[in-house]
Amino acid sequence: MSGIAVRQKAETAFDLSGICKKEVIIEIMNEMKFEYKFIQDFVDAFTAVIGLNMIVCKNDKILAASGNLRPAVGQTILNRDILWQSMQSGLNIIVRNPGKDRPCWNCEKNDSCKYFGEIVVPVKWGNNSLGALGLVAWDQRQKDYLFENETQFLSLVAKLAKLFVLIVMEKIYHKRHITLKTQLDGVIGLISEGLLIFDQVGRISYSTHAAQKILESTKEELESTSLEKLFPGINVNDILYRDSINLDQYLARMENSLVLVNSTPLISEENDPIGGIVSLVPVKKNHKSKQKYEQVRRSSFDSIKGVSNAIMEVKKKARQVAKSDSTVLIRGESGTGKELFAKAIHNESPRVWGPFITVNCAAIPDQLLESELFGYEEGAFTGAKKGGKIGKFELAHGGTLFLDEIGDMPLSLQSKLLRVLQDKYIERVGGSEPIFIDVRLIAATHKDIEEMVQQKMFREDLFYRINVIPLYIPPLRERLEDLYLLLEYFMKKHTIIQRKKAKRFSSNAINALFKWSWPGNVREVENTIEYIVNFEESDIVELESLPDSIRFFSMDGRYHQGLPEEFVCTSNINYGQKHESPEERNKKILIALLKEYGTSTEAKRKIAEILGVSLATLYRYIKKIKQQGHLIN
Amino acid sequence: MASWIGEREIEDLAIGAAILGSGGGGDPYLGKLMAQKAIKKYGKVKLLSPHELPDDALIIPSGMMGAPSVGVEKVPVGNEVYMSFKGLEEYLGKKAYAIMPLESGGMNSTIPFAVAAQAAIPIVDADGMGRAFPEIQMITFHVYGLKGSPMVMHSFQGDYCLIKTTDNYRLERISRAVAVQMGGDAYVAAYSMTGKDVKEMAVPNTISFGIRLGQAVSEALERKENPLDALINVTGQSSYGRAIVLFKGKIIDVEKQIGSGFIRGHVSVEGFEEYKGKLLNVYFQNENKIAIVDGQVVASVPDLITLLEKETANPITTEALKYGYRIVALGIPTPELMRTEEALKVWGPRCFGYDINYVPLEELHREYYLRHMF
Repeated sequence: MSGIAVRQKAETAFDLSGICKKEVIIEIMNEMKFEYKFIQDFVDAFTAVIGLNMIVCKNDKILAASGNLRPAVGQTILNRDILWQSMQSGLNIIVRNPGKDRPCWNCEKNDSCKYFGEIVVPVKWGNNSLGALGLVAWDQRQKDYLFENETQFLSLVAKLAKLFVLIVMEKIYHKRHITLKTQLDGVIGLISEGLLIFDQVGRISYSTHAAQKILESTKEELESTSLEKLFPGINVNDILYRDSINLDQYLARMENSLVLVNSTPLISEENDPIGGIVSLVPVKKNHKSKQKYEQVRRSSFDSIKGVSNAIMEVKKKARQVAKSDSTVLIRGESGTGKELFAKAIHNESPRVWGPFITVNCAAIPDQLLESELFGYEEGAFTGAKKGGKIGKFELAHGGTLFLDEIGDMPLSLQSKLLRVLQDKYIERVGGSEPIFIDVRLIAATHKDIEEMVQQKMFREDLFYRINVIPLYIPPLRERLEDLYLLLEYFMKKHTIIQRKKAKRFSSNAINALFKWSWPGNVREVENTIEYIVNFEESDIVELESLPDSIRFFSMDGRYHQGLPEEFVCTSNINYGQKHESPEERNKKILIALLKEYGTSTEAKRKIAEILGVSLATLYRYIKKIKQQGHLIN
Repeated sequence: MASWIGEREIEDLAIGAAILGSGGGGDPYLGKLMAQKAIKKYGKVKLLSPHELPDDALIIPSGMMGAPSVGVEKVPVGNEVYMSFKGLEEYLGKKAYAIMPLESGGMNSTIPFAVAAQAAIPIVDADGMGRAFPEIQMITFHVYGLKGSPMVMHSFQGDYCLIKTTDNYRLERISRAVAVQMGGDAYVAAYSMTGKDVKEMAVPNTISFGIRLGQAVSEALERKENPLDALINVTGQSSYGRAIVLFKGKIIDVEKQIGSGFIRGHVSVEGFEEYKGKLLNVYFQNENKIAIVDGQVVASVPDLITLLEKETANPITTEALKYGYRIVALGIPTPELMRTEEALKVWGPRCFGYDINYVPLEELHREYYLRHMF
């Protein structure tokens, strides 16, 4: 092979099309002229170590050269030079006998060539040659060394070409990164919300000036900590793998710092979470948000007192349904906390920032309820306000409408409500334009609504439409284990408000409180304690200090059977005075109940139910008491 | 309404009891092992709420007195409390209806479970302070007129002692001396009472609260949530009242003196986060008694002051306090039964030598509490 030019087809490794795009390579080639010093330094170092001369050209210019070739830097390549030929053909060229080998035939320096040998490798992008790298032997020793390791040198030169390109590319990208960051900083600086960017383990990698100001920390402090340390209670995985963090929950954890925190994950092209962004809004500047924060905190599931299994189960179920948009029907006796549950559901739902509107169907006269719910147009009826009035449905748009005592809604309105729930449109009274409403409905009742359906007092279709998720709040008598907690809680609450001294209960009082059926449920407990705090002067709450209804009455699990006919109190507790006859005591019980519940027909029905007697029997006893001279209206 | 307590609940109770110990009460570890071993052998224990007790039922409170650290080195045989309990039953000539803890902090929360399991009787969900206190008369039973004697004491060597005294202060002095002679700690049964007394004098539902506290902390840690938030939420659902964060910081100084069977001293904490630039001093006598931030009292006995490791909410006992701990100081209001005038005469700040009047946490931090009550 000696004396013959060997042409080898360039290996794909020299082809830069696998590394970067064409526009990038053009930029690289342009950039090369600014980076020639770095390439020259490298070429010099290479020659010092390996002992061979190296030459690098870009297009027709010699970019760098070492050893005896150094003076050629900056010169234009001679026409038909080996470097020129390599670039033109896109092939490796090996010259073993300079001046004699075929590639040298057309070279202008054919006669005066001082080379002992040469290897030239082109640098290409696809079919376009961009430059070339050459290794030159300047004496026989170098020539021997070059051709003894020919294969290795070919490979080395190809890799060097690639290295040069990558280094320049990195410099280009770095410059681009700096430019982009400066532009982004400028844009982000205009945003008043504080922003934090964190990685997939929650380490904060970037903080805006606004974030530093809100959190009263320096850039260094923020960017050396993690999200979880900064906001105890936040769970990075919650942000990365679920939807954005629940805003109200996070607020509740923030206690006094009053910063609204919202966040969103950053997802890579491979669909993996690579971190996220947290936005911070100082609530102090936003009065509405601060008010909302207070509302949310006060009406959360944590504010519903009770740890019994019965109440914990309901809370758990309610938390689950809160996240959805489904209609909820809350059932429970008076005083069990139906509205508290409704508010807590709203506050844990995605509608938390929307309005929560309550309508008590039993408190509004039937004829007014329709206009209350749907609003009216001007002139809809006599006395209608000028300009009309917006209804509760419209007010609740984007939020939740709580229809309390839905069992008291007149039948005529029930059909209209059903249509609204199905169509999501309302029409104001006297109006003709349908108005779209986006409202979640929560309804509540203490009535036996199934029975009402049977008796055609409640529309069956509406019942099924609102009973999507039924929630039954147990009465207090079914979760008496919560009574101690409630007694203590309300005792603390009212002694704190009124700045009164602490009180404790006598065993007789405790026995009576635990035997009482609490028909008014939690509300009744609070009223009882408020009564005691107001009227009890000593440190100990005796039986005598309790409201009459509790004092004279025992639930005892059998209290329905305890009092019929002659109201014989079967309790083993010694209520009242020992010398009192059963008849005397029963009279006191009845008077106490009438005082507590009132004397309306509904109240009397309730009392009869408590006593386990028929309404007729109750009337008979009331009549008897009246005859004895006791004043009952 | 009664519930059954197994080994799992004892595990949670041990965590909750350490929190309620307010730095005292000793490490609940030993009591936990004793209770779990007994439950494994004899079965689960029935937990009764005070209102479920018949008025005439005999209830015998039992537990350990003396230095808890001694018990860890000089491990009890395991039946000492049972022997004391049975000894008192025998002296009174009547079978006990149920056992009850004397206090609900540290190991005394769990030890009575060992007796309940072995004797196959229920345990009352209540105790005499809802926390830990160092002396035998510092208990609601004494405050509201019950006599502590007859008291039965047992040592791990098998020594037995019955003490009858004229008042509870003498009972403290004599039994303390006996406990020292028994090796630093002793296992006791005292303050026998009726179900009626329990309803009037005991702090109710403290055991179930301790279990819920422990559950909340361990579940939060398992879910990688902030255990402190979980803990505060649980206190909001108890007869104690919602806990309040008093301070966050790093311990920079601890001063301790051990003498007369007590550990006294104070710890200084340099604030960080929102407490940066402030200094907390907590003064303790076995338990944390007063917390002062920059000269201002922020909590005092009988309200509970608990120091927790910031990241884990792990309670730190006064014995374990040392430089460098990053802590959160938590205040938990005491139940109302502990705050009456008679009660404050026995464990108000002045009873421990601090010249201040007791002001409830809810009054010291009125705005926080009013916000959380409505």
